[in-house]
Amino acid sequence: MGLRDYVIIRVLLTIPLVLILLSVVFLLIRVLPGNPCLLKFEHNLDPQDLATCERSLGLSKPLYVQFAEYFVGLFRGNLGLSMVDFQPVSAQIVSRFPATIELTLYAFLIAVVVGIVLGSLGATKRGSVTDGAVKVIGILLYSWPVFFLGLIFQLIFGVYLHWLPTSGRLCPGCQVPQGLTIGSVHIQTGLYTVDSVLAGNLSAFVDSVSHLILPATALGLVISGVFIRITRTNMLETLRADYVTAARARGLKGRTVVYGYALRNALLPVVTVMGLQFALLLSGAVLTETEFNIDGLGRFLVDRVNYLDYTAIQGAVVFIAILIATVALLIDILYAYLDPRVRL
Amino acid sequence: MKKSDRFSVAGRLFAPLVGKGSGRGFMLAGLAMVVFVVAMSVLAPFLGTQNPTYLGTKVDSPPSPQHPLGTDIGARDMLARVVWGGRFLLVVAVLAVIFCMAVGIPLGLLSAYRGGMVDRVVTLVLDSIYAFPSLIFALIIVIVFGTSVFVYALAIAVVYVPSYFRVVRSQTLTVKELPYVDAARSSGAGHLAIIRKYIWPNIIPSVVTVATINFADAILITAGLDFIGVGDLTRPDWGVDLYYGRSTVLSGAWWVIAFSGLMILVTTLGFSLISEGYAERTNPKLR
Repeated sequence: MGLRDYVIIRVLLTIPLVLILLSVVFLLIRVLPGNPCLLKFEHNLDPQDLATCERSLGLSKPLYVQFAEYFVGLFRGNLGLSMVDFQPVSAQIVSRFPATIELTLYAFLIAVVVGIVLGSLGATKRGSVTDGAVKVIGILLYSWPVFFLGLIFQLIFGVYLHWLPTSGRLCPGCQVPQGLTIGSVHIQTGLYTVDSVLAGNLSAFVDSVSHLILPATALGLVISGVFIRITRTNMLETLRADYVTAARARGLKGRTVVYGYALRNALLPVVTVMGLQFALLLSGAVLTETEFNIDGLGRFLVDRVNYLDYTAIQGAVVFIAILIATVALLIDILYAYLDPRVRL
Repeated sequence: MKKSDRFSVAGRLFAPLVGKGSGRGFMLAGLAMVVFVVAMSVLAPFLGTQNPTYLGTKVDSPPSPQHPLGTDIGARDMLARVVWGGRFLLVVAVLAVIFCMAVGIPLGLLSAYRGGMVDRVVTLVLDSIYAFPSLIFALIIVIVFGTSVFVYALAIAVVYVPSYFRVVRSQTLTVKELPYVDAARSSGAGHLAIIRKYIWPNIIPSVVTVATINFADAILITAGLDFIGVGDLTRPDWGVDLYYGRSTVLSGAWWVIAFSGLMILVTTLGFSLISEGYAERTNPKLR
């Protein structure tokens, strides 16, 4: 099977994943007590208005019709109207998403770098004090509640040392970086660190980075526990492989063998596990965004949960499901590209 | 240990606890932490602390002789809250692990043993849940069904059943093709006998590893949900302490978050250490 066929099959396989999650959440949310129309008009509503409100939100139709309509809308990028402010949910999600991407991206980078460096260090010094320390650090980071680490960071670097801001994405009242306009094309990613560079705005760049350091480091360190462990285990196995012994026997330098031969092959399985860590990152983002007042997808979800905003919760879940499926897909394809045996 | 014990279920389960070797230190350290937290939580009513929900008058006061660990935003005694705050989390974790095992293990065995359409459908559904961020799934379940102990346990069970399922299924698939299982089958052993005598003992080490991690994650998820404020905020609970501490930490009230946060960490770390040690002792590749 060629790479192209493999990609097509993998794409088709992600559809049931999204569909299953959508159905579960759709049904689950319909169990929720409370009627958003009653909630909106604070219970003193004449029946006529109530019926109009329910009709406009599609609540009066049978459940399977609601489901079918939702599913059809999904393909057009329509996630329905929010039951709180009656604005399109998809637009709200799109406006909140860049903050989450920015946080998780930097956190992921930190996690991967810390994980690979410490993991391979432990494996090459197997059985030594260093290795023991790496193992303990890995377990400690994995067990550390991300919100507790975040609070400690806020206390030390924000309250005591006054080094870094503890809330939001930019200084209060500061203007959002506008990105770059070339002719009629306007490039604005919503990632403040990127937009400020595009706009050539150094102070906004420094500001957005300083706001990101604490949340991204807290989240990244907690996730790195998993990477340390996986890198170490895979590296141990690879270092025992025949070709590594052969390379050593031929007199190659220790560093060349470890980093040129073993690490590259040990990282292959790590790539597959990255996809699953993305889910962990998103869970962590919900906590980190709440803690650091970052207006991302996670905080959006928590806010809307408090208002019983069915459509917004459902929209966020569907969006996350599609996101997860896409990331899993990309990682699978990357893996198939790196390791042709997978395609067999 | 008697020789025959090595082949019994109890023997498999407890063998890694005895004898020297790598991973033992991790296991013992983890067990000590877990025993400490469990003992403190069980004995909480007899330790003579103040009432952890009593609203006093000294709001946010730092540690003092009267309140050794200070008070929180509601002037509640932090020492009392630290002592009482693990009870809910531990009960949720224990229930969640029981729910998970009761559903995940049989499902994994059945799915792998039967194969075919059943296996495909179950795997697809559980893989979908497995791929989804667990905290978000649990959040939605808690929002829909409320904040009781059972709902929390159920929410964690839903997101964690796939982990048991995957481990049990893949182990069963491997073991069921082994020659000695074939031999047992050809000499007339029934399905149940094969599962009980040949497959089950091979699954135990993996299930124990998943269960210990499940304990740690159950605590993390429950405390996380309390931290974002969807739980019952009147409950003495380490996660709730951190929820309140979030608003006062910026004015320097470190004592509200420090002790409760450390207790969560000690609990999850204890279970993770047990898991790591157990895995190391049963899986030589990790050493």
